[in-house]
Amino acid sequence: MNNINLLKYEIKKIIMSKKYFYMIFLVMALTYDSLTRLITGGYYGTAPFSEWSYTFFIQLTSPLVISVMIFMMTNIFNEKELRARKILFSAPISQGKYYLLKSTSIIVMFIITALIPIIMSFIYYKVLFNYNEFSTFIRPIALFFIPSFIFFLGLSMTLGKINIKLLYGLIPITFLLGTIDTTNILPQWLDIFGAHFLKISTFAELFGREKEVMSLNIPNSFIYSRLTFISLGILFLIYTCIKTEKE
Amino acid sequence: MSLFKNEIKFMFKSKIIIFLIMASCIIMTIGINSINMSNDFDLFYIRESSSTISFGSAKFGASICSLLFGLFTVLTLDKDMRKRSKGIIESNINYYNLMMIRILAIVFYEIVATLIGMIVVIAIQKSLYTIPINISYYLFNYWIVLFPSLLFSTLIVSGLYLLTNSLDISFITLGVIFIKSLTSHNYLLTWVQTNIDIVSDFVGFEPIGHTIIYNRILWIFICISIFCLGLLFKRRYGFNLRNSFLTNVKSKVLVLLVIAAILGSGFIYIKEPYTMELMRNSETIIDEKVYLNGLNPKIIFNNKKREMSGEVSYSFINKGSNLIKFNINEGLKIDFIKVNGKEIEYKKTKDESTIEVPVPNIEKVEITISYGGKIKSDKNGVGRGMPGYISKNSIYLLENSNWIFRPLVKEGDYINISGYYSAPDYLTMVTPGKLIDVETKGGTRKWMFEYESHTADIGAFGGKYKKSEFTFQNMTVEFYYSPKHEEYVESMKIEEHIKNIMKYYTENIGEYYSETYPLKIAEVALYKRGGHSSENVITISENMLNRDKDMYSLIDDNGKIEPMDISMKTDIFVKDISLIAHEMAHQWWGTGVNVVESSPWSSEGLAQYFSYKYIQNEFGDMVSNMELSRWENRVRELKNYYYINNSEMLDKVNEKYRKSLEMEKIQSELYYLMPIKLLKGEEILGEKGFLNELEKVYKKYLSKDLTYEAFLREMNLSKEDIEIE
Amino acid sequence: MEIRIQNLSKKYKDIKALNNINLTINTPAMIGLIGPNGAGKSTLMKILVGQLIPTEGDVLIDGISLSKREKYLKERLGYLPQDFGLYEELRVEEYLDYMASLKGIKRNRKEVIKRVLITTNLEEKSRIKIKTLSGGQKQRVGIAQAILNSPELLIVDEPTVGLDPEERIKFRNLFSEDSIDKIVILSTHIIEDVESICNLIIVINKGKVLFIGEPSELVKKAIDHVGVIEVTGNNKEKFLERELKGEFKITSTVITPTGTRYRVVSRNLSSSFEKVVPSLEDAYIYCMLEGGEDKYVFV
Repeated sequence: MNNINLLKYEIKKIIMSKKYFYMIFLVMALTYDSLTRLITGGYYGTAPFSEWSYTFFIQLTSPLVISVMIFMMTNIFNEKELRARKILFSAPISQGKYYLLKSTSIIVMFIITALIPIIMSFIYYKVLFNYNEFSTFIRPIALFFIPSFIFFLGLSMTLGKINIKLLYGLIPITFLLGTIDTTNILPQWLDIFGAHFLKISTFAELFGREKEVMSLNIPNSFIYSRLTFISLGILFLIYTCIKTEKE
Repeated sequence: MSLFKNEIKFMFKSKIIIFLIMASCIIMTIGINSINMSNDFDLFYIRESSSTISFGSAKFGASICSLLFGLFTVLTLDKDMRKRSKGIIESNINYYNLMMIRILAIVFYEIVATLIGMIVVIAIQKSLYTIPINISYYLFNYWIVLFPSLLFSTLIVSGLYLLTNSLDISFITLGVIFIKSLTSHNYLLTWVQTNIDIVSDFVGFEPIGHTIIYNRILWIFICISIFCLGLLFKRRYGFNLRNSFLTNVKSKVLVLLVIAAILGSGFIYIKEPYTMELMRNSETIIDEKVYLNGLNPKIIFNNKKREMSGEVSYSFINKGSNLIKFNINEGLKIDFIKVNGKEIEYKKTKDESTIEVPVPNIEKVEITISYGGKIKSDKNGVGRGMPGYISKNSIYLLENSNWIFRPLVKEGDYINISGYYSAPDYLTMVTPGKLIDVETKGGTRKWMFEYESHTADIGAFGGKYKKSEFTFQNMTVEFYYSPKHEEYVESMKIEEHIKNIMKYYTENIGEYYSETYPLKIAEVALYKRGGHSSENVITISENMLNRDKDMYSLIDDNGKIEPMDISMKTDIFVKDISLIAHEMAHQWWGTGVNVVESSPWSSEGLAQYFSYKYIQNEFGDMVSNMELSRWENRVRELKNYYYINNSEMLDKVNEKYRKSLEMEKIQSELYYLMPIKLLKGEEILGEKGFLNELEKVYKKYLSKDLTYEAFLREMNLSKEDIEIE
Repeated sequence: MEIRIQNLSKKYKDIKALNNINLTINTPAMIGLIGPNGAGKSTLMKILVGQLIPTEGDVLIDGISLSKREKYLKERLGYLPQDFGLYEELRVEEYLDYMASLKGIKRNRKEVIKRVLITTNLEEKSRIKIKTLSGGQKQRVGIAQAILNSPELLIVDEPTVGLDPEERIKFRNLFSEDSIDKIVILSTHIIEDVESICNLIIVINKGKVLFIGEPSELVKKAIDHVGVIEVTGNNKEKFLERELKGEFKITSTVITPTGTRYRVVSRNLSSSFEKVVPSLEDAYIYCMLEGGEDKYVFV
């Protein structure tokens, strides 16, 4: 009960700020632009509501959503919070529990924030294409949105705990990884947003395709790589929570 | 000043800036090879030179470092807020003065990073690649492409920070503006990376340089607008946004500056002088009652000013029309129009891309248009698909730039074309038809030509060319290419291939259509990729004649390649040769025989088919099959496009997209479906039989129109025979 | 509760912030921890609340090492650090509710908060966002959170900074009343605060405890070491030179019509001074004088 109460305040602190409101506005603007300008045409000639187009849509919006998350995480490690911790840590709460509380609030915030482009896209599909089978989109969301988020969540917590400057440094890196074509620059195992994979799949499956509706083939290796990112994220998170620091 | 020095010292001590400069240098170094790291297969294995190395590194550096410096800026500005030292500082100095000084200090380090990055890349080019340095490319790419993007990033994020007073919001907003730049095709919006893929080695950056500079000027205004807007809302005396604004607004200078900058950016954006919507606006309805039978262009090029001027006379046979429409290029301003010797008033359509000239309803109408100015290019094709430009060292004017105003009338069986191009004497002009005479006077050279053609699609191409000439039977080829690329042309035996293609076509299609008109092949810059055939002039973009030395090992002494060794390099080389073969085939199909287009039927299908046959003959089935499977893939793929199968949904997308989809569809039919159909015909009639029949068709229809129906009839084939599933 | 500090030392790189401290504190106690800046007061407090780990030695809470009893301690602890931050985007009552949840208060949370709000005179501000409060009001919120769980051990670092005189008196009394059944450790610079409420004083300097005992004992030590003298204009410079030489320390200067009247503390008070009864402040200065040269420690 107490924990839920704490979580409630953690979320309230973020949601009630003007800053978050503005960020939501930006996410909405980018989502709108992506949907109407880039998704309507369909990814590589597939239907705008195909799994391919939706994966592409996720890749267009997720760098921004995740960057917003990392910015929220800077609030866990900034000067203000460090000063507040002087009091917080006199309460019978372990550092592990404290970080767990903060991470949970970020996860909840991620769910809320990520729902914005997702719901917007659902409305868009319903209104424009009268398309209702939203279950098609579960796989792209599960494979392209959630693993990258969990990875960045864990990584950010670890980096932030070491030094907040590293966390700030992570923001442009996240952004660039998500927006610039890094297929031939970075190794494939660094394909956090799955853009590299989507591109290879496009070449392999959409080029010269024989059917109109092509399902997005997900090889096991890709699922393993997502699982790796998820486990890495969780490991980072556990490391952050377990390792208590004291001078 | 001392404060400025102090800030510079202070930042230096923070070490982050050192790290940032080092990271920038590493990023720029990685960027040297960025062309080969893209998906732009046409540009793979382009020979490295000062232009490619400096542009690749600067562009890649701009894309990444702009965000890094943006973040550094906002972290620096937010420092006192985070450390709660603002109060102390504010009691000593006007805080916003200090902010300005800090921004200046960051700009100083951006200059340092650009400079060091440039030196590092120059050193790498010199030592590792041992390529001589052409400093002008470095100066342009580092100081017009790279540095401004860092500067803009800093100014935008500072303005946003002043406006929002929040690190997070300002940086995320910068990120959104950054994404917009990356995903836009409008050259005015690409403030980070520019929308150029590569700088031409052949003609340099001049044809596109002014567009990049214009983009930079626009963004200077936009940045000043954002920054001054930020200053207008900077928080003071503990006020909130609104009250701070009410206090700041008392500064008249600032308000004026904001208004001037915003109006300035709007004006620069709207009054953009270099492009037009060429594709969208062109009207295509032909007046069937009027024929064109004579064209007399007298054009003077002023390359230093990137201008042209001249007088073009058109002769028409009018069978009952009292209006002739011309598609024009918006950049060219009309001095006067004379109809049968008398100056008349003409009308411009709303979008300025077409003019209407009233004509008397008599049989012979002669229209003379005097005009001049700077050619406008297509809005979405700046740097990638520019149909026309004039720069100091080159002239590239395809007919579809409407550089010669295009009358919307029928074309007579023959059109007598004669006239001249006058250009600076350091340029070699490639004229349509036959060159009659060249006159040099006072630094300019007049290239006079004559041509009897069945279309009026003439281009003008000029550059610093080396010319070689060779003849096979009645056919003469003039090959114009940059002396810079001589080594590649020789090593890869390009001339041998051209000769082989001549031979193959002559033997398998028939005699070249004319003894009078040589085939002219001219290398052009890659600001328009691929090849083009206008009458007896073929242009091929420089990437086909300027690849890496690594390619040399691909071929043996006879210019043949080892077919078993199919690699990316083989693929690229074969594509290059195949493209030359395609354009040359148009001399038979297109220029020799006028193939009347009716999708999928057009000269493109035949050109594709013959280039395929040549590749098959020259390099074997394995290599040619790669091309075939590409066609099949593309046809299959397009057949499975959602909007093509569900055309009732097309009203969901905008007109621009609809048009481009339509274009893609037609292209796939003309270029890929038709040659597959022809191969099916070949299968039915047997290779020899098919080629024999084609030879007959060529002979019969030389200088005549060939429709799809006529073709099928002559070949004894039906549409169903060559239907593809 | 019994807190036993054994051979406690804390080093930051080369600096010894605490040097072999031994202390035992039992409930009830109202302790004033005094000492100059950088003496090690905050370090000692941070170790006591489990936010720092000692380099050597140990703190035993009811006989068991603090490192093993952190939760036990924190459940019984109220702490107000010197320079702290609050969640400014929350309202006062929300923040207290948050802290109550953190402290594991499950029952009657609302009433507890209400009681604390009344005690700290914040009822009227309870629905106001913390960021709009004044410095003194924020200080009160800090105190409010420290007493939320009715702690057995209340450690407050400079609690009266930023409070107006009336509030200061109020909180002094609050701490003092609280100390009937608990340990209150009050770190401060303000001798006046200590004098009026503390029954035990710990003087600390350069990481060492110089004195521990009742205030009156400290004052007793300084008897015969405090004097006053009136110096006329001409002799003033010579007199001040003597202070620089370390002969005595001036604790007050009053300009009179005939010259200047100085109050001094000295290890060996010369006969030229008129001896007076020392105040606690004089005693503290005397303690510093003695301890400063490591010659004599009162403990």
